[in-house]
Amino acid sequence: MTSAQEKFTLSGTVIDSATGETLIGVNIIIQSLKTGTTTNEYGFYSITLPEGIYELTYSILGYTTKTATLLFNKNDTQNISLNEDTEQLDEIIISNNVEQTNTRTPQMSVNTISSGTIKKIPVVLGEADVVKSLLLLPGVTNAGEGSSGFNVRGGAVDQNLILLDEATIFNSSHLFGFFSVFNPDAIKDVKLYKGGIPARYGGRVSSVLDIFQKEGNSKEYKITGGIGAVSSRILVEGPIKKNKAAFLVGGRTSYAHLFLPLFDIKNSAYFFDLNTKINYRINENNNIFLSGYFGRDVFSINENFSNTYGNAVGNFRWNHIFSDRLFSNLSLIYSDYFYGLELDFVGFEWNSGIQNINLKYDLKHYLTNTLQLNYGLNTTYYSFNPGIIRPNRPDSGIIEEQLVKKFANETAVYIDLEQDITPKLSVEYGVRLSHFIRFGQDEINLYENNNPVIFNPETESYSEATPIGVTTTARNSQLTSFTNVEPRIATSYSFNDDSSIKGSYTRLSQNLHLLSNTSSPTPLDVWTPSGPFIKPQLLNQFAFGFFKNIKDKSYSLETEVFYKDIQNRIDYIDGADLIANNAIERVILNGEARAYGWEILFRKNSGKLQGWIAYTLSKSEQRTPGRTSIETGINNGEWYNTPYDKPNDLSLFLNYELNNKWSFNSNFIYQTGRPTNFPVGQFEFQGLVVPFFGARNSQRLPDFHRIDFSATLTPTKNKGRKWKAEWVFSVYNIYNRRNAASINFRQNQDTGTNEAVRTSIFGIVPSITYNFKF
Amino acid sequence: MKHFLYTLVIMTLIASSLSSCEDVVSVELPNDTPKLVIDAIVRIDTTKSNTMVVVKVFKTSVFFENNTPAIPDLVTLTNLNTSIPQESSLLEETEEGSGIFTSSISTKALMQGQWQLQINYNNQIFTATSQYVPSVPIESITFGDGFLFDEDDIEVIISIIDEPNRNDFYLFDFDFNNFLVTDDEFYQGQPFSFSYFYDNDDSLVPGDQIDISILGIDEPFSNFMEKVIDQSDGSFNPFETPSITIRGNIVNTTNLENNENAMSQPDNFALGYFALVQEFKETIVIK
Repeated sequence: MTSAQEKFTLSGTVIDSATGETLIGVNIIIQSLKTGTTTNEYGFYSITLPEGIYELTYSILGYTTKTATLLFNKNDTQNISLNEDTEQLDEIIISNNVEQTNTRTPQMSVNTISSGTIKKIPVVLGEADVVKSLLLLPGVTNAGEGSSGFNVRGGAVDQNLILLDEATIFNSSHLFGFFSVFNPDAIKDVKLYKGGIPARYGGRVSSVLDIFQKEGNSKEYKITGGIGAVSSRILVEGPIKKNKAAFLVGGRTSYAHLFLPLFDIKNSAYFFDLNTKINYRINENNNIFLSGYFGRDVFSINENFSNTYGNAVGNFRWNHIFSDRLFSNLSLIYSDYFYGLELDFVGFEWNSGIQNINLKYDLKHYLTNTLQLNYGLNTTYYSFNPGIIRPNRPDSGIIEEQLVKKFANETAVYIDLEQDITPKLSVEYGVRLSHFIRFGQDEINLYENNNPVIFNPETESYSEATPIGVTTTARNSQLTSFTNVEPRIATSYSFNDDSSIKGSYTRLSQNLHLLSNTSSPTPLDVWTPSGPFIKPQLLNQFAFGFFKNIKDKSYSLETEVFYKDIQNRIDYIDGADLIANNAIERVILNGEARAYGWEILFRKNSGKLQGWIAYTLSKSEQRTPGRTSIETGINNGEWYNTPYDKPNDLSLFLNYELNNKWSFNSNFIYQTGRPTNFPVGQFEFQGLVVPFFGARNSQRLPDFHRIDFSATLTPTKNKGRKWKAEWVFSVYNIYNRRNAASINFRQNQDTGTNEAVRTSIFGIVPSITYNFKF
Repeated sequence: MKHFLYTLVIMTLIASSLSSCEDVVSVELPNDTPKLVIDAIVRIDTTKSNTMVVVKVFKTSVFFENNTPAIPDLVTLTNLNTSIPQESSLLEETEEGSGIFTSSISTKALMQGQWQLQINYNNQIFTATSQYVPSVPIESITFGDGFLFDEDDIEVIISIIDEPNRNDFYLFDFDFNNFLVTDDEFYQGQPFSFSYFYDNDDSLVPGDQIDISILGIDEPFSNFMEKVIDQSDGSFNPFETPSITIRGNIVNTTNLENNENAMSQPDNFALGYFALVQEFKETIVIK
C-alpha cells in the first residue's frame, strides 16, 4: 500500500446480456496478480490496481467466460454483459449448478442453489421448491414429509433467518409444510449460510437463507409459466423503459381442493403467492427497487371453520454508488405475518400476527484490491399480537379479548473487513453490536420471588405459578434491554489455486423466539421477544474445513467440521400449553443446546452427468438443568436429543443431459429416523388408554429413505421458436417406501386392543408438469 | 377455549393428510416396572343424599396389554377439615381381586373441606388430597344438522350458562370415551353454546342413548385431563408435542411419614388422579 506507484479503480456492474438481470457472484480474476473480486448481491464490483495493463476474466457457471484487456491509467467504469453458455443443452433453464467452490475467500459453510437447479430436483407432485432443495445439501434436514421449515446443523427451525429481497419472512411454508412460499420462477439466487456468518447478518443463531428475486427483464417482454399437479404459475416481466426500468409480476396458485377429497362437502384448501418487483436505473450511480410479496393459505370446511395465514412484505431499496470504491444500499422494509381462524360452531374468530418495520443501510467500501470494508446499520421495530378473540355471531357467548400485545426494537451496527494479508492468506473479521429493547405493555404479571414457574418436589414436576399482581408499563418505557457484542472471524489459507483450508468463529444473538413445542412448527405458533423472563439466545460456532477444486474445477470437494453451543434456548415444562397463553413465562425454562458434526460435499460440475453427493454425521442435543439443587430440570437435567437430531444424513443428486431433447434427474435421500418416544407402559383412566413415557426423545422412528426420479422433455421444435416449452415427468418415492411420519400408540376402537400405528404420508407419487416461456 | 383452537387446527391437519396412509406395525417397546394407577374421580350429584365413591386401584402394564388389579392393604378416604368432626371411611373391595373399592359417603360431607385418599400398597403409602369443585347445569342439548367432515356426523349443540363469579374449568364427558376440557377465560359469566360431533367411529344408530355430563374441575385437574385426552388420542398429528409421563396428584408419602425431611421416592410414584367433582348429566336419544 505504500507503493509509490499510482493506483486506479475499475468498477461496474455485470449483467446477463439477454435479460439485463444483474449477476451475483461473478468471479473477476486478474491472473497475473493472482487477485480478484466477485460481484455483490446487486451485481456491482470494484477493483483497485496499480497502473498497468491487465487481463481480467469474468466468469460464472452457466455463462461464457469473458476476458477483457484493460489499461489502468485512470479510474474507470466497465459494465460487462455475459452470454448464457450456449453449450448448455437445456434452453429454458440456466443450468448453473451449486455455486462453484470458492477456495480463495474466507467465506465458508455456504451453499448456493440457482433457480435452475431448484427446478430440476425431482420433488413430490412436481412442485419445484426452494426449501426442499436445500434438504439435499450437507447439514440441512427437516422433521420429515409434510413438516414445515428446515433445520441447519442441528439448529431449530426458528433459528433460521430467511430473507427475501432483504425482508424477513416469518413462515416459509404453505399447507403446513408440504410446499414452501417461494415461487421458483421469481427467484434469482438462493444462498444459505450455515456458519461463518458475516457481521452484516444477525438476529437468528443457526443460519441465514438469503434469497434474491429477479429484477425483471429490462430488454424484452417475457412470460414464464407452468402447469403442475399442485399449482399453476405465471410470471410476466419486461422493460418499462428499455435498459432503464423493468417490472416483474409473478403469481402462483394451487388448485382449490388440495388434499381434501371430501367431494360432498363445501370446502377448500389452497394457497397463492404474488411476487412483484419494479426496478429503475436512474443513472449510473443510482438504482431503485420496489418489491412486494403477498402469500396466503386458505382452508375452509363446510362453513364451520376457516383458516387463513401468510406473509406480506413490501420493500423499497436504493442502491447508490458514492464513488467507484463505495457502494451503498438503503432498504426500507415492512413485513407482516398474519394468522386468522374462524370457528363458527364455537362462535369465535381468532387473529394473531407479527408486524415489523425495518431500516437497513449497508455500505461496501472497496479500499484496495486486498482490503474491503463493509459496514452498516440495521434497525427493526416489532409489534407482536399473540392473539385476539372475538365473537363471530350475535348469539355467541364469547367475550372479545386481546391477549397482551408486545413491542420491541432491535438496532445493530456492524463493521466487517475482508483482507488479503498475503496472496495465500485471507481474513474476514468483524463485529456486530446489537441492542434489543423490550418496550412497555398493558399488563405484566408479577410473581412471588419473581419466579413464574414453580417446582413441586413431591411430584418432581414443574407447574405454572399464580401471579400475585399485574403492572402496566407505558409503551415508550423500556422493560428490559439486552446488548450483545458479536465478533466474527473467518480465515482461509490457500495452498494453491485449487485448494485451501478455512476456519471460522461466529457469535450470534437471537431475541425473537418461536413458541413451539411440537415436532415441527405450526402456523398457529406465535413469536415472542426477549424480555423480563426470556433471555436472548447466544451462539458460539466454530467451523473448520478443507476445500478443493479438481481437474480444472470439473470436480470439487468441500468438507467441514463444526461445533456450536447455544445458551438460553428455551424449553417447555412437561405438558406445557402454548396456545393462547397470555403468560408464556409460566411454562418455560432456560436451557442450552449444542450440536457438532462433520459434513462432506463432493460435486461434479461439468459434462453430461453432473450432480453431488453430500453426507453429514452430526449430533444435536439440548439440556435444561434445574435452577436449584432441589430441582430436577427437564428430563432430569440430562442432555437429550433434539427432535431434529439426525446423526446420518446422506443425499445424492444426479443430472444427466442425454441430448437436446431429454434430460434426467434423480435424487436419493437417507436419514436416520427422527427421535421420538415409545411408551414404557400404559394406564387406564376413566375408560381411556393412556400411554406413558420415559426419557425424552430416547427412541427413533425407522430410518427415512427414498429415491425420486424425473425426466425433462424439451421438444426439438422449440428450436428457433419464440414459444419454448418443456414437460417434466417425475416420480417421487420410486420404490414406494412407507416412510414413517410418526408412530402412534392407541386403542383400536373396534377390537379394543392396543396397537402401534404407523402413518406414512407419501407413497409413490407420479406427476407431470408443463413449463413454458415466450 | 384454547383447547378448541388446538383441536380444530389439528382436525384440519388430519383432514389435509387424508391422502396419507396408516398401518399397524410391530414395535419393540422399552420396559418399565409396573406402577400403581389410581382412578378416583368422584362424580357428585348434589341432589342425592349419599354418593357412592368408587376408587379403582390397578397396576400399569406394557402398552399392548391390559392393566391388572392391584391388591392394596388399605384404601381410606378422610376429611381433613378440623372444623367439622373428622370423617374417615374405609373403602371395601366390591369383589376380591377386582381392584375396585367403594364406600357410600354423605354427599353433604363430601362437599365440605379437604379430603384425603390414602392407599397402602406394597409397604408404600400413597396419598392425594382434593376438594369439591362445583359445576353448572347443562341448559339444553339439541341436535343440529351440521357436520364436520362427513354427512353422517351427528351434531349436538350443548348450552350452558357460565357462573360469573369464579374462574371455571369444565370437563365434558360425551360418552364412548370422548372428553373435552374447556375453561371460561373467554366466556366468563356468559351463556355459551358449542357443537360436538359424533363421527362414524362412535357407530351410533337411532334409538341409542348418549349420556352427556359436565363436571366441575380445578385447573390442575384440567391440565391433567387435557394431557390424558391428548396422549390417549393416538391419531396422527404432524405437530406432536413431546410425549411425557402424565403425573396426577397422587404422592408417595411413605418417607415423608417416617422422616419429615426426606424427599419422595422418584421412581416409585403412582399414576392417576383423585378429584371430587360436581356432575350434571343429561341423556339424549338418537333420532
